[in-house]
Amino acid sequence: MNSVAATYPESLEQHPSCETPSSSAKATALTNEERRLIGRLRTGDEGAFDELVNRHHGALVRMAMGHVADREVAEEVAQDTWMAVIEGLHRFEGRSSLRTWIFGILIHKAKDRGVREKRHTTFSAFESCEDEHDEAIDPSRFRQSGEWAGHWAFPPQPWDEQTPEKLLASREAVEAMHKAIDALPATLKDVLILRDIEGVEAKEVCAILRITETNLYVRLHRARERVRTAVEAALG
Amino acid sequence: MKDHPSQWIPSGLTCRETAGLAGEYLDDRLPLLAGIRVGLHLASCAHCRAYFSQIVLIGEAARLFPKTVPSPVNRLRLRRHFAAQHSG
Repeated sequence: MNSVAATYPESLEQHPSCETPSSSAKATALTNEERRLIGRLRTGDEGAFDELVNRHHGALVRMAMGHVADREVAEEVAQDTWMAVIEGLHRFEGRSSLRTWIFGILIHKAKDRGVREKRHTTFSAFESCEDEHDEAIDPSRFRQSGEWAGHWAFPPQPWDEQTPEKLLASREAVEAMHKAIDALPATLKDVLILRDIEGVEAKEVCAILRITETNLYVRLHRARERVRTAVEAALG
Repeated sequence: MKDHPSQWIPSGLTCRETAGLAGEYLDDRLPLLAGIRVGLHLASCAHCRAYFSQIVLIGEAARLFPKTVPSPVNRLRLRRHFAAQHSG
């Protein structure tokens, strides 16, 4: 079950899809914090393991949900991932960040589980192609002709006085955000979760998902716009 | 500064193009010239400023989502497995 942890490549250098392998290698180096954490994990510090799980479990489940049928299965995939992490930890060489390695295992397992469930996964050429070419922002929001073609016809109304905390205090806005995120196809959900929810640096997201930086920003733009539109509608 | 289109600083970018570059601009990943053009556009376009600030706000709010943790049963299984790997 957990051979993935042993075989999942830690280094980006094996992935020609990355635009800048040399800079990516730098991005995936272990931080001092991670080095300390790994040291604690290898000595069997349960507190360190709890800390790691608490930090990433939610994002793992959410990402898995993009590939499998329901939350229960997504929880199983996340649990399997943690088991694989436990078993593979002594073999982890630190050629990528710990987080990159963990999310790589999760994606591998979720994809595998999704295929076994005979669902269409996000890795089909069709869906990938569709993602790249669809408009992120509804074209009708821009002027179609005239001197100001391409400029806003129906611009976003400013959310004055809004702060992240105030936004989270609005049940409607939070529900809209969760609903919009959950409804994203996996290709978009993965980038949004990693970049915006987990706060992973762009280059590390590319490493985890094995996509180019150009591809990352195309997907991120589409994902963020869907969530923004949902919140915009919820806030009226 | 006026935000009426007639007052826009010519950046060579439409609002649609500017909005499309939000992610790269906010991550400081645009080539110098493209970054300057987006900056010029934002300086005179309140609509695009609103758009960019909403993107930032949503990202910041998403980062504050409450953390989900494993169920107590799953947590216990993980702890046991972790402990077993380190016993002997």
